[in-house]
Amino acid sequence: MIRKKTLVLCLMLTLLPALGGCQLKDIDKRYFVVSTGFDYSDNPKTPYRVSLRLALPSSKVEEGGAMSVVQTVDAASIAEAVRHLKSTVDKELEFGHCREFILGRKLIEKDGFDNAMQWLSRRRDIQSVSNVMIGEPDAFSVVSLQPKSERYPGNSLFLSFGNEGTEAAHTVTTYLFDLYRRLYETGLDPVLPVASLFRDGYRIDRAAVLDKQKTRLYLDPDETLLLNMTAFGVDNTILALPDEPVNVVLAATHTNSKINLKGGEDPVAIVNVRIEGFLEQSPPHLLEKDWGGLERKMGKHFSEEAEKLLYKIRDAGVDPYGFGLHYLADHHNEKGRWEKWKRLYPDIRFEVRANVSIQGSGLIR
Amino acid sequence: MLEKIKEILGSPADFTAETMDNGYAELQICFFPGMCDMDQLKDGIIIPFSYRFDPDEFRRMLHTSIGFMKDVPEERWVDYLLKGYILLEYEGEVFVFRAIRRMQTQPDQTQVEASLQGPQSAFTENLDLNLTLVRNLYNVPELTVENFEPQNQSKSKIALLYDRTKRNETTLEEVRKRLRRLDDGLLLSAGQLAKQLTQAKYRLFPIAQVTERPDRLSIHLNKGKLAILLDGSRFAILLPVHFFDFMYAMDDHYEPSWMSRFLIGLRYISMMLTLMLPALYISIVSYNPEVFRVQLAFTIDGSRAAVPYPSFIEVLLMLFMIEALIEASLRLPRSVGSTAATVGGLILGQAAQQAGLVSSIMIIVTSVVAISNFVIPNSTFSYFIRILKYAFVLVAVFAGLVGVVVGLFTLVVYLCNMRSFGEPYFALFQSKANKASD
Repeated sequence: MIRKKTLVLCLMLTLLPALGGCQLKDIDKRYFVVSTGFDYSDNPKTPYRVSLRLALPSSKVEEGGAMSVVQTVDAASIAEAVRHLKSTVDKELEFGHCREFILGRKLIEKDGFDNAMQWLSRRRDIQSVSNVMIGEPDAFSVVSLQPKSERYPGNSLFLSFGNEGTEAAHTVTTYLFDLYRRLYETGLDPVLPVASLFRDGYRIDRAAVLDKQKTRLYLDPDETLLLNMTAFGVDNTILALPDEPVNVVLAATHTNSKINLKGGEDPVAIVNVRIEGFLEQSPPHLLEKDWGGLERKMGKHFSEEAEKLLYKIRDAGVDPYGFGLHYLADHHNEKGRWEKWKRLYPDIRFEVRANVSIQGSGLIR
Repeated sequence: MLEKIKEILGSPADFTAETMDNGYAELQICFFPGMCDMDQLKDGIIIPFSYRFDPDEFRRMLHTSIGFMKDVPEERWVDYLLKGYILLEYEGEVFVFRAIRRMQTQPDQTQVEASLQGPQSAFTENLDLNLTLVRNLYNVPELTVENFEPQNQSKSKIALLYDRTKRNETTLEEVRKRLRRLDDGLLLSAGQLAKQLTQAKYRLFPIAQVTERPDRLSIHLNKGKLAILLDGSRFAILLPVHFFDFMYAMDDHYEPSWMSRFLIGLRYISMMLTLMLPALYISIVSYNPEVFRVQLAFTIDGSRAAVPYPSFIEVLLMLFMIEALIEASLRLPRSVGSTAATVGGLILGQAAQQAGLVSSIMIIVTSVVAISNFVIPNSTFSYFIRILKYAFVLVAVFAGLVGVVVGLFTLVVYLCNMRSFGEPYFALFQSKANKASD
């Protein structure tokens, strides 16, 4: 009896290795993709061009020691392209560490980003905290750049976003999960940073505002900064007031913004922005003369600029701030309220109330 | 009498059987000289019988002194002889005289459970001395000692200790029953006795604690639990115990509170590390490399490039080496021990990595596993943890990170299901519900 039991147990144990063995793939048999680019190829049969930057790992991490190769293939869809790319490399592709997805400018303008999003959100090994951006002039050139300062492949582009590396005031950070939300949420539209090449590095100081399909508006760096401050409350930004002989520049350490909708048939969107910081550049003894006045003057200047941006975005017919979402949240579930909002939005008025508070001149006397 | 004894014992060389005659009376005496205290023999029997001989006084002494036992049944004579008693026949009556040679008169130094500031004395291999040590520390009238003399080949005395007012009656009855039912092989050490008492052979965790510290035993008694002392063993058995008792060093009582809390936390972290780290290494390297930060992933990737075997072979290889090293240095003489550690730890580890047999991260994993294992204060428990980590390695090889998580869950379920002599093993607090009220 016991011998029979042992025999059965042994048999089961020998079957065990066959169970999950296929999944086991050692780390050195995997090719880490560090950035992925999607382009439009102008060939109607194989419209999608997928470029992958693959890391060549080394046990030593040093400045400029990052090695990588770029592989590109055209196919009828992104999924097919990636499958096809596997036949050009010697190891299994691993997207687990791919944190940068670059959509070519042409792809977004011609085809929209819905197909790319479908693929990105379905793959289980793609992380939702990845950064998504628009590549200019195309995604391939952004993917294939190998900056000299990189310690390990893909590091440079990744550190440009968020607060991980540089805390740039002009860089909009859009994560994949946020993009996905903005793609499907009624009354809230996506914003994507635009990355281009600049000498031996990346330049990410512009943003594109999209509707649910395609790009509607490209913002210049100053507008991107304003968008960052009013929509995303990014800290460590800057606020300049034109003045003679030198501009007064406030380094904002904290920025808060809050949106309020007022008025039923003739709505006014009030954006309250609170900016705290210290003067980084100003004519001497400016603060002592009129501290409160300077704060008000800077606030007024900021409000004017921001309102200009808001009207520009409104006229493009997009809504990255989520005014529509606010409207839907404020009004109870009456029928046709979304249609009503769509009618109201082109005529909405904006009011930016900026509360600038200067903490000091940054000097010790 | 002497003929009967010789019939049973044969005539071993270390046995003395004499008939003494002082001119007035005859005395038959037999004993094992090696097991008897010769001074006691001389003072108690030889002197009164030889040059201080007075027939009345000698007779009176035999009948009244507490050193002499009368009316011992014939079949027990040999048992007493074998324990170091002296058997004598005077005027047709047989007496047993207690003159057992005491090997130890001093408490031992702690060796296994060292403590920085706690008591340094440990149990000895003498039961009477051990009882003295316990009585000194736990000096209350309620301390009860029950003696058991199992009819096995060793016949070592067993003492069951408990606090009469605090003990749990059902547990006590269960332990008594098991002590009476011991098998009749050789019983050599407390660890062996603990194994027999806890019965189940394939349990994954110990349910009785073996200790050499009288202070730990006293605290245990004070909690209303039981302790068992075995003659000839310098370890006591504590039961019932909980999972958390094993992670408790006696220093935790004596050190500042913050420090001891920190150390307890450290021990649990170490336990988890030594249990899970090899399994985590396998499952992350071979199944889910995205768990690492990207730098670490590339570094491991780079350092694994030269390794020819899959990650689990690498892990098993290194674990085998470290286990062999521990096992070898455990039984080495102290003078050679440090050499083994140097050869094994430094040279082998470094060389294995340079030869491309294992990755450099694996060396770190192995050393963390080995060091963390020694942080566990109880050696029995650390043995169980040591073997249990292979179960996790096995699961990780076939099922990856998911397997490890499911394995950990299963382990917790198993622990919750375990009972130590009727008490829940994984309980944070001791149950007081069925405490005896008398």
